[in-house]
Amino acid sequence: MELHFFPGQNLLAIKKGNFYVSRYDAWGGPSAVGNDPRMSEEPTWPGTYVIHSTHSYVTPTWPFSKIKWGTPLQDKPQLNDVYYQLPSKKWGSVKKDTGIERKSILQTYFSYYGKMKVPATWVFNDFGPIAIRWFKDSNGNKILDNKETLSGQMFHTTPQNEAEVSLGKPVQLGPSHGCIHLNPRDRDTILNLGGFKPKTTFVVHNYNEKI
Amino acid sequence: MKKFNWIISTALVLLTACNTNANGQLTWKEDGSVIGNMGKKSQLDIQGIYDSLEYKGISYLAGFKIDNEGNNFPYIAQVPNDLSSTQYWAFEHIPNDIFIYKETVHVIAMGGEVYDLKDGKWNLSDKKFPRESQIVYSDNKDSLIVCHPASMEKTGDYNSGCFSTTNNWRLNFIWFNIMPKVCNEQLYLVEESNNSKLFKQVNLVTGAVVKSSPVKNVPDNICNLK
Repeated sequence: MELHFFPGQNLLAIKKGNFYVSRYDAWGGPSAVGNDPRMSEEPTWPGTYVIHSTHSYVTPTWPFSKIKWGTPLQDKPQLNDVYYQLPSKKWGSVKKDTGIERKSILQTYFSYYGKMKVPATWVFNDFGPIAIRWFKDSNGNKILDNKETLSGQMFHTTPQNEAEVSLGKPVQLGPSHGCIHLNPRDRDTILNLGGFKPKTTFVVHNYNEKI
Repeated sequence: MKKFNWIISTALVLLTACNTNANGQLTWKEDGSVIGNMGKKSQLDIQGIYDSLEYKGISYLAGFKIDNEGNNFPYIAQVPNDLSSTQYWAFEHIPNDIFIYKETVHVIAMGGEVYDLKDGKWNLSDKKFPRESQIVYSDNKDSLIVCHPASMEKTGDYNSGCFSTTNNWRLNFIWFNIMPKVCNEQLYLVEESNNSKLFKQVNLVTGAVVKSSPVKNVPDNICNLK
C-alpha cells in the first residue's frame, strides 16, 4: 500500500499495486510561498517519503497548539482564567502559559460549537487530536536514522473540521501552511485501513500532476 | 509602647488600603465582588470579569452570567462608585473593550461591532472595527487609536496592527497578546515574529516610529520598556 498526494487536485489516494483504490479530499499548502507574517505558507514539497509515526502534536509556535488536544480543563471564572492539566496532574493557567484569555476560549468554542462555554477538554490545538509524521528516507532503509529528520509538514485535521464532525455537519477543508489537512472521518478511515502505518511509502506529486 | 504604636499605625494603613482607594473609584475582582468608594462591599451577578471602565463616577464592568450547565452569557454591569444601584445589560456577542467616544460610553464586541450607550440603551452604531480590536487611546472626544491582534489560531486572520481614527495613519505589524499601550505620550508596541521581538515607540499624531530596538524580555507593563 502507498499513499499519493496530488496537491493541485486537493486529493489523497491509496494505491495498491498499480491501482488507486480509494480517494479522499486533502488540502495542502499553496503552490507558491505565501505572505503570512506569522509563518509563511509554503508548498507541500513534492517528493517520496516514508510514514514515521502518529501522535498528538504540540508546538510553541502557535498559542492554541501549546496544549495537547484532549487535555482536561477546569473553568475558573472567579479568576477569569481556565486551568489545564499538566503531565504531572497538577493544574496550570492557560492564560499564563499560552497568553489565551478565558473570553477568547469562550469565543473560539462558540465559533466552532455554537455554545459559549469552556469545554471539558482542550479542543483547540491547531493540529487536531493526532498528526501523522513523515520523513525523507535518504538511505532507503525506511528507518529515521543518520541525519534524517521528521518533516515539519504533516497530515492533520483542524479544530474547525473536528467540530463539524462532532456536530454531524458537512466538512469544509481549507488551505494549509504546507501540511495536509484531512477530513477527520477520512483520517480515521485511512488509519483503519493501515494507510498511516510506519514505513508506508508516501509520495507528494507536483502541483501540475493529476491522478 | 513604641512597638505597639507601630502595629496600630500599620493596621490603620492596611485597613485604609483595603477598603478605599486614593482616587475614590470602585475596586473589583474577577469573581464579581466589588468595593465602593466608601468601603461598601457587594457581590455582582456576573463573574469572570475581564474589563472595566470608570467614567463620571460610574464603573462599567464586562463579565458573564453562568448557568448550571456552564453556559456563559455576556453582560455589562453599570455600578456607581458608591454602589447605590446596579444595572445589567445582556449582550449577544462578547464585549471586548469598553471606551469613551464623543463623551459617550461605547463598547466594541469581539467581532468588531461597536455599540453606544444612550438613554440607558445600547445601540449598534455604524462603526465597525477589525475583530478583537481594543481601543488603546481615546481623548474622550473623537480621537481613537485602535489596535487589533493577529489571530492566535493557525487558520485565523493574520492582519494586525494599530491605526488612528483621526490622524490618518496605520501601522501593520504582528502582535498577539502584548497589547500596545500609550506611555509617555507615545504609543509603545512590541512587534512579534517567530524568533524575535521588536520594541517600538510611535508618535501618536503622525504614526511615525520614533525609536525601534530589539527586546528579549517583555515586562508585564510595557511602559517599563526603554
